[in-house]
Amino acid sequence: MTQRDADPEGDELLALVDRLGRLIEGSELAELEVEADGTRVLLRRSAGSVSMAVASDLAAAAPVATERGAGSGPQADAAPDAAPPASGPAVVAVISPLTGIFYASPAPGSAPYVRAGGEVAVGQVIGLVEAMKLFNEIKSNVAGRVVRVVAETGALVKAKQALIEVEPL
Amino acid sequence: MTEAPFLSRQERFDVVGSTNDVVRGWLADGTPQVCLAIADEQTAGRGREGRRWVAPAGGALLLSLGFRPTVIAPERVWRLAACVSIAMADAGEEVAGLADGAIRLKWPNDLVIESQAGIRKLAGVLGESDGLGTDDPRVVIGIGINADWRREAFPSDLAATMTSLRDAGGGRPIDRVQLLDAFLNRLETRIAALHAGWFPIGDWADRQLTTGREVRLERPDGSLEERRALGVDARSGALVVADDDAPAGERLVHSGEIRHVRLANPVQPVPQAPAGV
Repeated sequence: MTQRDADPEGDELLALVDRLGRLIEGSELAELEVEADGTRVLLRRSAGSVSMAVASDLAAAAPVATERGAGSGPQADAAPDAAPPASGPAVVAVISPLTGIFYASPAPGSAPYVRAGGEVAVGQVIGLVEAMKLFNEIKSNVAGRVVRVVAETGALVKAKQALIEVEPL
Repeated sequence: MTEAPFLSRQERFDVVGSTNDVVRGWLADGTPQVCLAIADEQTAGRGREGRRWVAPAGGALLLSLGFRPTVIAPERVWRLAACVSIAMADAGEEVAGLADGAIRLKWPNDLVIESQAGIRKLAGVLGESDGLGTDDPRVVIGIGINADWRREAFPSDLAATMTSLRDAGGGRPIDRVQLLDAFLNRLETRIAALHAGWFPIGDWADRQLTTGREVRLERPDGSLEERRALGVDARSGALVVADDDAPAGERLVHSGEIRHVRLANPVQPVPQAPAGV
């Protein structure tokens, strides 16, 4: 069975990130950076998980995190919830572990778990991803300031896709 | 309540807020899998989109199971809920004396019975998880099945759309302890198989009410789309519908993309005699 593929470039990037994620998980590397054809992918290992940042023209079209600062290439289009651009170190994305529907708040009409500009702690819930009527709490694996809420509430997100971007503190 | 060796902990409560919350707390405190909380009555039971789940004391079997799916990929964790639903459907048919396959699944995992009276809901399933993709994944699957609930006691506003094992079985009383034991016996086998990497997709797919039928998909914005349901996707669990515009003539519909999926041409309800007691 085949799913309609509306974003082949984004899928290619996600597949690449997926392969790199497996590579770093199966190694003792703390950090892995790959650059090719104007796309730079940076993966960092933290406790029990892998975070990623991506910078490229493709990143502006695909729903993934964009590394900012240090002359890293074009920034992504304006997000639904964006704080002023960061000028310090690269941001780190909190990624979805599975494909599903993203919810930024625990219930319709309630306050979002996190907002751009606010701080987030390790282990803090940043959103829900629903798949097959299973509501999955997504927790941040990084402490810092939320630069951008990348995923839109009610929208489909894919596994490994960035949900929020965080500037580590 | 029978002791089930595969359970690390099981407790029954007369009244509890939500069995899902109880089990979430146990997992947070370090309780190993599989743990089980059962309640005669819930005061804060939840359904999808925050809807309340209400059942009279003793009328339903309300329970939640806690898992630590360290060997199941995040994209496959939905299969835990599927195993719970299949095990409960098998157990319900046995205890209520129903024919094999009489209990169907309303995609993805709610239990229903279709008859000349229409499609009536028998049980609801709600799953919650956290830590997927980390080394400490936790999953709670809650299920509430209308068991010994007499049709005469159904809320008037739900009577046309709900049923119970007692109702479906012609009014014969349902022993909830027997139902629980039958469920746990089946669940143990299915969970062991899942941990060994085997999921009986056929058992799950065969019970789906929608397969091969026209369905009406209602999106969150209220818009409707009618499609022919072809089946379910073994990998993601998504509904597979016909779509001539899609590359292979079919596409996947994920649960969160739609608010409701209903049969476009359900059996027309006919007047039904009151169930005997």
